Amino acid sequence: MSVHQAEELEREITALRERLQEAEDVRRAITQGEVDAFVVGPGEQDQKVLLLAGAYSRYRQLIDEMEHGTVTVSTRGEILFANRRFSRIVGAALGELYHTALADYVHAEDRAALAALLTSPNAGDEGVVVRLARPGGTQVRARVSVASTWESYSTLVFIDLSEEDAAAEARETIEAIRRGEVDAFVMGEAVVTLNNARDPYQVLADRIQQGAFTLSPRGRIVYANARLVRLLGVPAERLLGAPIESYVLPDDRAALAAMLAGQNGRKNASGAQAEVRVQRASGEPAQVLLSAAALADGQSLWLVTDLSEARRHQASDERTRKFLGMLAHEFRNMLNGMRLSAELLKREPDAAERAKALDSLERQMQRMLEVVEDLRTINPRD
Amino acid sequence: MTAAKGGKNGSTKNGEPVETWDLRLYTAGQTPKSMAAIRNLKRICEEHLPGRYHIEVIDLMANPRLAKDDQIVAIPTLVRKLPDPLRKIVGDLSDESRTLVGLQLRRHQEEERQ
Repeated sequence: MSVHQAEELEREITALRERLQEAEDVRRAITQGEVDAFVVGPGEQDQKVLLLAGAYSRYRQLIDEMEHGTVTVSTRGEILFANRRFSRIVGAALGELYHTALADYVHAEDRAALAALLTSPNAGDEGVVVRLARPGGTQVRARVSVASTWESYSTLVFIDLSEEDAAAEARETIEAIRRGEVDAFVMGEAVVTLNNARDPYQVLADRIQQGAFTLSPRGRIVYANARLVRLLGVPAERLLGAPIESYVLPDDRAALAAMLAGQNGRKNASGAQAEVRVQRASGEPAQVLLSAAALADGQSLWLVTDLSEARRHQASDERTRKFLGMLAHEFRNMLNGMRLSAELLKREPDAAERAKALDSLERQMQRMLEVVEDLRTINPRD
Repeated sequence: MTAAKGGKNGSTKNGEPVETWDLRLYTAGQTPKSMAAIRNLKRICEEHLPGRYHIEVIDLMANPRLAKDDQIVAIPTLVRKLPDPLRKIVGDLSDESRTLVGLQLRRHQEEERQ
């Protein structure tokens, strides 16, 4: 081959390479949806422009109507195409998805699995489960698999598992109901408990003015009524499962232990009592009277009478009683004076004496009116 | 009701941060199943997650609207908020092995050991 022939061959090869590159560019533009019309025809006069809009729309419509999310990504993980279902899954508008990194929509911990899938698309036919981030910080689980790879592009299919999760949750709920592990349901904005959800004594205990709790055979609180919750100032959920002795002051735990020992050996519902001090959340202890009664299954029902409060009531009652006694004495004196004045008015012939008696009667009546007025404004706690 | 020391994800083990489990239990006042769920959850956490769990008890009797947050249907229901992903376990948690599977607690412990 001569030098000239070699140079000619080199030029042809270069020209062919350029045409090949151009063809590659056209193919890339087509696959990326960047062109929607072609010029076809043998000569300049016969050339026609063919619009691909119809065919393209049908293709896009087909993809968009898929019930699964579909994304085409480059090897760098850039989204080149996404269907409407995928945009709904991740909660982003289609326009926002293009040319963003697919990894941005995947939970950080799942990105390695997705990258591995893109590197070895045939490694697992079932794909991998990833968490897709949604606006507002929520997530949705999706199974992603590679539908096709073409040179440097991969098309991924995302199956939204939230419906599958919801179905699994529904199955689990039904199973829990069958096992009898559920006793209340949410109906709209109300909670409905099953008829047998509460023991009759609990319904009663919630209405009494004393504190009440139920102990397991091991001395742990399994029920506490609202009055006890208020008395101790501790939320019910903290009381439940706690040993009762943790709420009794150390010096009084021996008395409690004696009651517990007696209660465990007791087969009937006869009661036992002890005075102990209990620790309130406020730090101030309260003197209480504990009364216990045996229940079925080794449990026991305990009543808690707040003696501090009872003694406060007792002291208040005493003050009231004294006040009423003093008041009765005052009234009796005033009425006696008025009766004497009235007697004098009835019998006294002397006009001057009668005027004195009348004056005295008026003063006593005025005094009585003042006392009554004072009683109207008095504070019951005074 | 908190057992975690140092707040959320603030615990450490041999200098390494230890993940705190954030659990939310939905109850209906003091129904037997709700009370049983509280007791069982406390016991399971003390046994398997000592010092690294946080339990929030939500009484839906007091505020039924809070059921919407986690789409609660039946009570009691336990929701694992952390670690991700969110998981729900319906029932009184009386079956410990089922609860452990539901929480994926053993799997997480194995992953932590690795």
